Amino acid sequence: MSNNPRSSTTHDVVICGGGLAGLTLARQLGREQPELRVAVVEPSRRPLPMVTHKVGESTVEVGTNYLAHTLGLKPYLDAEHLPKNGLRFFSGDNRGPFVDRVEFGPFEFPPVPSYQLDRGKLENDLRAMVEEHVDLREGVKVSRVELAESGSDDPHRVVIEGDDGEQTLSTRWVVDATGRRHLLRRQLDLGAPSRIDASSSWFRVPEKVDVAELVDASEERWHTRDNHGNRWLSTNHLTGPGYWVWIIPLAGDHTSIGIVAETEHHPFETFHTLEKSLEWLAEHEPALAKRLEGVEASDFLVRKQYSYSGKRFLSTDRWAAVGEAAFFTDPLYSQGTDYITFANTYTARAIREDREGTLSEELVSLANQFMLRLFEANEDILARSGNVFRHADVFGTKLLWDYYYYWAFMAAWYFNRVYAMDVERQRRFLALGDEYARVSRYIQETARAWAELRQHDGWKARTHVGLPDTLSVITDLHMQLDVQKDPDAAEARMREDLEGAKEFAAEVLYRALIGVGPENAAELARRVDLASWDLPLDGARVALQEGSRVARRGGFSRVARDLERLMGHPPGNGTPLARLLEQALGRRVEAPGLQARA
Amino acid sequence: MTRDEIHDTVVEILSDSFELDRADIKLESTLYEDLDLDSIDAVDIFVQLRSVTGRRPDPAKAKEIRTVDELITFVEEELAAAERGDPEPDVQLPDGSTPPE
Repeated sequence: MSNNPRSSTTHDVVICGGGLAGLTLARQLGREQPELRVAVVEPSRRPLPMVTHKVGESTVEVGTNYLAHTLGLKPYLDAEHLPKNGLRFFSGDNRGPFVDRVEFGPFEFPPVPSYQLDRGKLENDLRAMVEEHVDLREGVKVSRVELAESGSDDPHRVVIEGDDGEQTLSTRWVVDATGRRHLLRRQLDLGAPSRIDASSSWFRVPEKVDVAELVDASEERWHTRDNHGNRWLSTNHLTGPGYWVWIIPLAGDHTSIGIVAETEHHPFETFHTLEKSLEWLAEHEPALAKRLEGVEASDFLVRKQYSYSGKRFLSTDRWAAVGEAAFFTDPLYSQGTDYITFANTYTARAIREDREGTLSEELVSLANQFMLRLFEANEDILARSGNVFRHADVFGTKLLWDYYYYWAFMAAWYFNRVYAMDVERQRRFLALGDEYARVSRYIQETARAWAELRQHDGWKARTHVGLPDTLSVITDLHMQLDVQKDPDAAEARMREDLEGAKEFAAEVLYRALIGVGPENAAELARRVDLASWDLPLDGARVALQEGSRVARRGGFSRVARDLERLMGHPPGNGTPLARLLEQALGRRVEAPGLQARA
Repeated sequence: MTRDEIHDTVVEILSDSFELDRADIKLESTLYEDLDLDSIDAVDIFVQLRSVTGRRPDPAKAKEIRTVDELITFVEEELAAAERGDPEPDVQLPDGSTPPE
């Protein structure tokens, strides 16, 4: 601490809470800044129970990269935890035969890996790993945090209470990793509401529940198309009107089953007990309910209206809130560990710069802005999605966009180490992020209106949508995460992918218009406020919609082609797309490339 | 699967995926000229065929295929390879490298 004698403090960093967020931050600090004196204060003692400790943690690319490489846990994760076979969704008629549900998911393990973590095991093991270099206080509770006066250089005081009574730690930095105890959030009034209004219930069963068991063995093609019989290692989602259900494997042949439902469609009281959850499954997911008959649940947990936001997570006053202490968006897309990754990484950078005397308000403000934008982006993606889950064509199209967005922007931020770049460059990335967010809002609003106004199937149901191995825009976005890029190349790539994002939004609009037909084209335009959009709509492309396959192939952008490959060519109902667009815009779109502006 | 069954499956995949008339898909039809497919279509054929063979296709072998007949033979060989438990080819990143361990 450049201007604060270390002798006046007992620690450089006190982390309140030793769950996943706190322990990973402790390990990160230990690896990157080994000279720091770090304490972790955690009320629970080892051994933590396996399997039922906390809701299973399923990682996606960012969180995986953080755990595996930044924290150096790859050999440990490979040896001790389950590999994850990507995200897998079964959409379409929720009460019909399971074999007829449209499946969105990989044929085999994706090249950029992820894991199904056992939280009890991981947290036991992380404690053992960090206690070598960290002052780990187990069975000790944080009674209160007395923050130094804002702007001062005085130490913070953390009052803790354990078997030996009360003790006060004095520290340069204090980090709230207390999860839903929300230590600093309460104290500093950091909370903010979320636009996501949904609740969840979940339970674990002491056996392997393989989604493949929901389909008869005689359906050979269905079983073969999962190349290695590893569907059960995916985070499996069954989607239906207003809800989705998860089936997630846990270590030791246990399985986690959860219901996530929007309040508007499914009041919490319809599934807030185990008995009601099972009845609920019997009604909405009969194939799964049948599989679970006679199976005893090992536990049952609920979270009513689980989503919440925050005003900020990091301060030049030397405090931070990481993990669920700061934000919780939604369990869909398994992004909990991603939030931990970003918050921990910016916190570690702020602690380092503070020691070096270079910590600026600009960096802290940028980090806070980034986390808030991340939260808002996920709110845009997930709030009021209940009707989107109802239809496989709408949901599948939206899902492909959500992947595009995640890989092109959110994951790219981490894989390209944007967080480590200078503030000025990060601001440019953030401005690009605003452009992505705008395009994403167009797409999410269009998907919602499409789901609500849908008249025509417009879609010959594909039974399995998996990404191609190569020559696909969306696959390339996933694969290029592991290709090292310098900051200029990373920025250029993100900018280039933004153009593809705009094409994507236009394609979603075209598909939605075909889906809602001439009856509802104008109403769709009204609901999404199409007149205010700033997006290039290409008249030449629109005219190709009714052309032959070869003509479309010759004239489509790579993004348009990708969507057609994955989601099929919507046959329409006889009204040309150009006419539908005219109804939606109230005027003609001429070739080529007129802007759809107000 | 018999060769006839493979034939029917291949014809079904080609006609469903590429809006082709089944009658136009003959054993001697060339994929790129007669059926007017391109390299992206070829990738998609092999994506669809994974649900038949249960294996990741070998890009080098796939590149050699010119006709419907050769495609059927390819599926036959892949099914035999799956039966034998032959290892699958490596995944390649866009820059030609393989993903890090």
